[in-house]
This record gives sequence, structure tokens and C-alpha cells, in this order.
Amino acid sequence: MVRYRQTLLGVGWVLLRPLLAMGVFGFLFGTVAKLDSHGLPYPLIVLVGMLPWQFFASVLSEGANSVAGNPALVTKIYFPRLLMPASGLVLNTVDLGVNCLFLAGVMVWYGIAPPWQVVFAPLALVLMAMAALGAALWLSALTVRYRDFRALVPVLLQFGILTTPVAFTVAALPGEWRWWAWLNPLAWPVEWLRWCVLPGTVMPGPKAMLLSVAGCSLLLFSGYWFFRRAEARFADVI
Amino acid sequence: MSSEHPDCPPDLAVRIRGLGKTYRIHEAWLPGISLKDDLLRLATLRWLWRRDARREFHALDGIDLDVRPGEVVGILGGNGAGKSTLLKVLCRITPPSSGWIAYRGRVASILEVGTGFHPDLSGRENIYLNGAILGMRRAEINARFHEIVAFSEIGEFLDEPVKHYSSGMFVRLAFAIAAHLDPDVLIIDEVLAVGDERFRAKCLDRVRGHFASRCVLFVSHDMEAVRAICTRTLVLEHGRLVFDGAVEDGISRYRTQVAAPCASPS
Repeated sequence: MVRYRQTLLGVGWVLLRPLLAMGVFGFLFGTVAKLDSHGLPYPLIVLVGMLPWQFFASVLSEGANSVAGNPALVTKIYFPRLLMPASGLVLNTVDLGVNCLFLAGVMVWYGIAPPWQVVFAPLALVLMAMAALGAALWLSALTVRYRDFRALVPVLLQFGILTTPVAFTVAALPGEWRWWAWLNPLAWPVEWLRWCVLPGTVMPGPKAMLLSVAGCSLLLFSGYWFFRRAEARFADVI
Repeated sequence: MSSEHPDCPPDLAVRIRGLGKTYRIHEAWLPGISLKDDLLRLATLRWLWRRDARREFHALDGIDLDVRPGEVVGILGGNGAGKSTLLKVLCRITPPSSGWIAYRGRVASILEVGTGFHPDLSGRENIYLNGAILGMRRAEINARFHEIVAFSEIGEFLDEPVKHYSSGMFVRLAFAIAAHLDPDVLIIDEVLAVGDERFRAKCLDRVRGHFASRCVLFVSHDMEAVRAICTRTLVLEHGRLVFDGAVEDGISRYRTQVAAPCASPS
């Protein structure tokens, strides 16, 4: 846990982002816009969405800069370059675990028990991890050659958090717009996790699932292919 | 990293044939590497005829080499002769433009000491981190941990973050880790010049002793170190291998090369 060395709050920093999101999105979408919360406290809808999103965003943004940000390692030591974008996966899984404990605490506080399908929750996280690693592989290899992609990452993430059902549920959208939301391969896992963890939410359909599995797999395998093709020249162009 | 290359005969540790490395030289009137320039080149179809207009620089050119286990090979040459490029290609950090390299056994390299140290981690934690990056398994590091600590002479500062180390302590620890690697082929760039005179002597002793039965490829400008440990020398000039033979002859060949003005292209 090098990341939280020499910090006062230590691992407590992990909780700050979901807490802030819970407060801000909970107020905006729940209290002001009064979106459908399926009879649940709105902050809980947001918190369950933030867990997979924060995991995805951290793996992606740390992974994207992992190679270009460590030129000394690339030009001085030989080791499988794949470890650089992939290492964020391990670290952020720890953070995810801490956040899951926090979620359990909040649910106890609200007095809400998860339904039986909670055992299928990890499926959502597997898909999120595939998509995050795939995107990190693409972006890290591209950033080594073209630094433009470094500026693209925050834009992508900002766009992503609002187009993925993180702070709202797809069921709360007007009918004709839902179809668009499902085109995002991250929509299904986020909604699936919510259905697994929170009673009363809507189970996402099989078509969205197929789309998501296909999209995330494509991202991962194409990312792997591209990264392996580009890695030999990293030391020359970094 | 380990490999049993079919092209490497069993009595050799390293075989190199026709090895070349070519870089394109960037010229002011040609676009460099950027997304904008690459897209422009694509869009204007300039890549069709300007592709070969760039000048090329041969950092390495047609190197042939066989090294046996137990040989400590000193690689000499002035600045720009291609020594570092040769080491980088040997370590697989950068791919060759032509030719091939075959190894028998495990290869480890120390091109710079302390790369991959994390400043916020303690000496103890960095031994594990750096050992892993250099290709040691956890069990190997555990088995050698006390030797590494003793060699580095870090003592009571073992659990201090390395960012608080003096530069001498830092390189001593870094070299101690590298010195306890157990490869069949070891590639070293000018890193033996660490610490004070006594520690340097200890490093040279270590290379002579621990790595004597293995194969060592060693780049240095320090002729005393070359005399002390090498059994054979190579001299590079403009990316070509111009001498391969006994240590004293290699050193005098190197001395005449660097004494001549304009020994390397600017």
C-alpha cells in the first residue's frame, strides 16, 4: 500500500471519493431531480454504482500512464511490460475490497439486507476488470508514442461517469433512451451489481449482457494484441 | 527471463550473428513523432514517397560474437561507439533491426543501479521489489536476504525509507541486490563504480568470485576494473566490432581509438 504512505488518513482516502459522490449525486439526482430510487435511499443507489466505476476509473487512469510515466524502468530493465498496466488491477482490487466493506456498513446502517443473488455480484466486477485492463492496455501503449492520449483520459472518464448508470438507474430513464444506455458495455455490469446487492432494483436483460460480454472481451483481447505489438519499440520511442 | 534458444550450441552461453540496430535521424524539415504529424503524413499520402527520405544511423552494424560460460568479456569503445546500444539489445530492452541473439540459460542485467527503487518504501521492502523486477523469485530473495543486507552494509537503516538514504547507501543496497542474482549470463553497464574505494574493490571481488563460472558482459571506461575482472575484451567503433581478443591488446586498441580526434560522429 505504497499509495497511502505518508498520508494522514491512510486507507481512509479510498472512501473519500464514494462518500463525496454519494453526497453530491445523491442530492442532485435524488433530491433535486427526484429520479426513481426503487424505494431505496438514493445515496445507496449512487454508492453501489460508484464501487465498480471507481475501480474501472482507477485501473484505467493509472494503467494508461504506467508505461510513459516510468521511462527509467522501460529503458533500463527488461521485464514483461504487460505488468505495468496490469499492476493497477491488483492494487485497486484491494481498494475495491475496502469499499465493499464500507458498503456493507452503510447497508447495515440503513437496515437493508442484500437479496440472495448477491452471490452473483463478482460477475460484474470481472467484466469491469476486463474492460478496464483492455482500455488501459490500449491507452498505455498509445501514450508511449503519442502524449495526446494523456489528455484524453480525464475527458473519457468524465464522459463515462455520466453516460454509465453510476448515479442513476437505467429504469429511471425515459423508455426510448434506455436502448442508448445499454450500448455502453459498462452499463450492464453496473446495473447487474446493483440488482445483486440492492433489493427491489430491476434485473438487467440478457441482450444487454451479451452486448457487454462481447464489448468487454473485444476491448481486452484487442488491447492485449495491440500492446504486445507495440511493446518491443517502447524503449525506442518513449 | 530464461531461454534455451535452439540456435545456441550447448558449449556456448551467448551466440550473436549479424546483429544490427538502426535508428532514423530526425531532421528539422521532416515532422517528428506526434499524433498530428503522423495523421498529416497519412492524410497527405506523404508516407508514399518520403518514407525513405530520412537519414539512418547505424548504432550497431553486423556484430558476430560467441561467448562461452566462464568468460568475463569487457566491452570497450569511445562515446557513441555503440556499447550501450549493444547492451540494450542484449537485454531485450530494444529489438535488433537485423540479426539475432541466442542465449543458453537465464539472463540478468544491471544497466543502472537503483532503477525501480521506490523512494517511499524501506530498504527491506525495496530488496523484495527490486529483486522481483530483476527476475528473482520470492523464495530466492528470502534465501539470500541476509547476505544482501550484509553485503550492502546498510545495517540499522534497513527499515528506513530509501529516500532518506545517502547516495552511497542507496547504490550500495542497489548493487548488493544485483550482486546476488543467479543468472547464467550477466550484463553489466558501468555500475561497478559505486561507493568508496573499499566497496568498489568488494564489488569487483564479487563479480570475479560469484560470477566466475557464468558468463559476464561488462561495459566500462575504467581500465583498472577491466584488467581486474575481464578474461577477454571487445572494442567497438562506429557500431562495428573492430577487435576481439586478449585484455591488454584490447585496452591498447581502445586507447588509440579514443586518442584519435573525432572518433565518433557528432
